[in-house]
Amino acid sequence: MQRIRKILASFFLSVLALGLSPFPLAASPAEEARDALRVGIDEVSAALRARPAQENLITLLDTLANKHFAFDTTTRLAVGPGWRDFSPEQRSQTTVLFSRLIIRTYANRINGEKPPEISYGPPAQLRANRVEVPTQVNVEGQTYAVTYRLELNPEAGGWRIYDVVAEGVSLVSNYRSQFDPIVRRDGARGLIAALENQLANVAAR
Amino acid sequence: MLRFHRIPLVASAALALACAPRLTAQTMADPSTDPDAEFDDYDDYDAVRVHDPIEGFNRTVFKFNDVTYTYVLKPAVKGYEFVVRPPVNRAIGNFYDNVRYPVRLVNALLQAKFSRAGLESKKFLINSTVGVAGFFRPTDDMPELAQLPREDFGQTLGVWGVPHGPYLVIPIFGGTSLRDGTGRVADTVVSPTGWEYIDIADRNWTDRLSWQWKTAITVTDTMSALPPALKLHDQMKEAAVDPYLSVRDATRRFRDRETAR
Repeated sequence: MQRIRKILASFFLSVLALGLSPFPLAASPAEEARDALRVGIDEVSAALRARPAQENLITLLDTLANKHFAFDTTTRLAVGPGWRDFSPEQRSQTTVLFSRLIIRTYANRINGEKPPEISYGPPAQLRANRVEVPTQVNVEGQTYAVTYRLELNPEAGGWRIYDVVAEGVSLVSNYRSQFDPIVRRDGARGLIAALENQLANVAAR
Repeated sequence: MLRFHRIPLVASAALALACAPRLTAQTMADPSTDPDAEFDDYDDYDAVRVHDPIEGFNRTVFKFNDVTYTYVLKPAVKGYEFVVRPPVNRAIGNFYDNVRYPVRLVNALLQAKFSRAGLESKKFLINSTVGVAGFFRPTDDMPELAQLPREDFGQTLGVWGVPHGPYLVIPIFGGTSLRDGTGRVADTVVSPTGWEYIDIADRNWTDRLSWQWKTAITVTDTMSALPPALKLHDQMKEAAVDPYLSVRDATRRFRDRETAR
């Protein structure tokens, strides 16, 4: 009896020790990506809980977003094969404008709402260095399926989000459907002008 | 309105063909030295080509809807929610959603999704009793029932292999396809909220209801559905470079996902 108790005790202790260990046991890339996503979302949620003023919010999101989002990949994928014909200046200009549009509209969207509750599903490997993490987001009693796609870029500091798929609608695909006709018709200049135009609209609101 | 609606998968082949020379060039190049190699991930995103032969007309209706949402419906909802507060309005929305259970049941059965039909029935029973006639949704806390995909006749037609046909923007209701729009009309036959519009054997099922009641039903039903739809429209319009294309793509993808589930 004494012995059994001892064995049980040591078993529970070791389980506890494993659970508390700062180094997760053999985390797969997919799990690493999920952890990075969780950290990113928690950081944004914590920042929002402080209820910053709208202008500060945009600056704040700018900093956080550039840390957790791979806007370069998002922009390149949203433009599609036409990206090859963009000059380096046009590429960086498009990336800056597009990320600004996403951050602005996102900031306007979450203003005044409390941070949503999020539960994370099992992550899946998409290709080398790309992982998608399904989540369930609960806002105001409604639950939405939101999948985050992340890519690993050690130079940029690890896993960063490059696409968000809400209820089957991918951010990248949705913008590709809009960018494609513009790039075909008016090239990089047309797209840059369209982005500038919409940014001015959003800022004026 | 603005309910998201599906795809002819046909045209992605055309794009694949157009990109073929470039892709082959890339595949053959050494990925570590070729600066273009990173681009072979464009195919991770299939281009949804929505068949839209009456795009010009659709765009006009889209614009009309946008103006109507902004200058008529939004103020109307604002006034309405001054009297019927948002939490109450949401409860009314829950009620009508619960009442439309026959639509989900019938379409689950038509798609031979029998266990889903059973779950829908369970959900209906729980929300109608514990949820006080459906005004509350206790099933939101039950993982098995909270995420139950909703079935409708547009999806049933899709499962049966009927293609979308042309994309349509309906005044007030918003984007849909010929198939999904037809599905919506067909669903009113089984939906209790649609019975007032239908005469069966020269008798209207709701003959005993006064016109005031019928109007109240239509108004409260519509007003409970509007706030989230108008909000979504505004958000998409703000984020988009071309709102029409953004909504069209999102509508189609959302509906295709719903149909596949």
